[in-house]
Amino acid sequence: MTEISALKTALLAELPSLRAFGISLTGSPDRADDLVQETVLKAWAAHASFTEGTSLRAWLFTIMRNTYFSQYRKARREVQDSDGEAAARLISTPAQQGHLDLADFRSALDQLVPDQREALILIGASGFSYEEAAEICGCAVGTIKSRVNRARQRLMQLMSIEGIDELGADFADWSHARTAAPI
Amino acid sequence: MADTEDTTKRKIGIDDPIQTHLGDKLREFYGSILAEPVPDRLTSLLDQLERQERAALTDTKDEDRE
Repeated sequence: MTEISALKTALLAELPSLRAFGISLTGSPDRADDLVQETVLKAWAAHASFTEGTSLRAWLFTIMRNTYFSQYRKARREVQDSDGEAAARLISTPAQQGHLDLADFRSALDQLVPDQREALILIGASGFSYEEAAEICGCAVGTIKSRVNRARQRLMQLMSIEGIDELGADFADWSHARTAAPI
Repeated sequence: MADTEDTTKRKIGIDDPIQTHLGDKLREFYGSILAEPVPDRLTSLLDQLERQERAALTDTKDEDRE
């Protein structure tokens, strides 16, 4: 009885993280929720295979990732562009007013190679160690490191043009304000 | 983050504030999703799984008694 409650409570606590990882995998909040649902069902059925004392989140992310790659990858390829845009709009609108540059960031993130985006999210946002991320992705630690590095370089390329424009605009405003202001 | 290989290759100066900015943006993006309310269908799925599991346990106990 208590074991069931504990499992339920633990899974409930992981739902936001599962959604976040799901959205970064699928690029779509709706598909992410479908993916979370399947992940929860599989985790519930297989909870006996979870090793106590290890990271529940890493275990769940592994299940989610395997589920996604066996079922969703093809679907994503077919609708990637329109769906990515829809997802960017969904995420950037009502809650994010005043943070329009987050939409730009999201759009740059969407342009990354999936493997690199995934590694960057696991390391840079989900707070996993390189070792845990390697386990989740079923690859070597060095592979995760190089994916993260390449993701960072690519993001920088994608964002830097806008970044320089923004800096330029800010600087122009600032200098204009300075010269226009009565001294 | 422990990306020493990368750091040594990088030009000193301009890249680092940009990387810090991108890291902040990444966490802001991820945090905005974490802060979204979890859809009811996901929480009610767990309620349903819990009920099923308890019902299954009760059935098993009944069978044991027979």
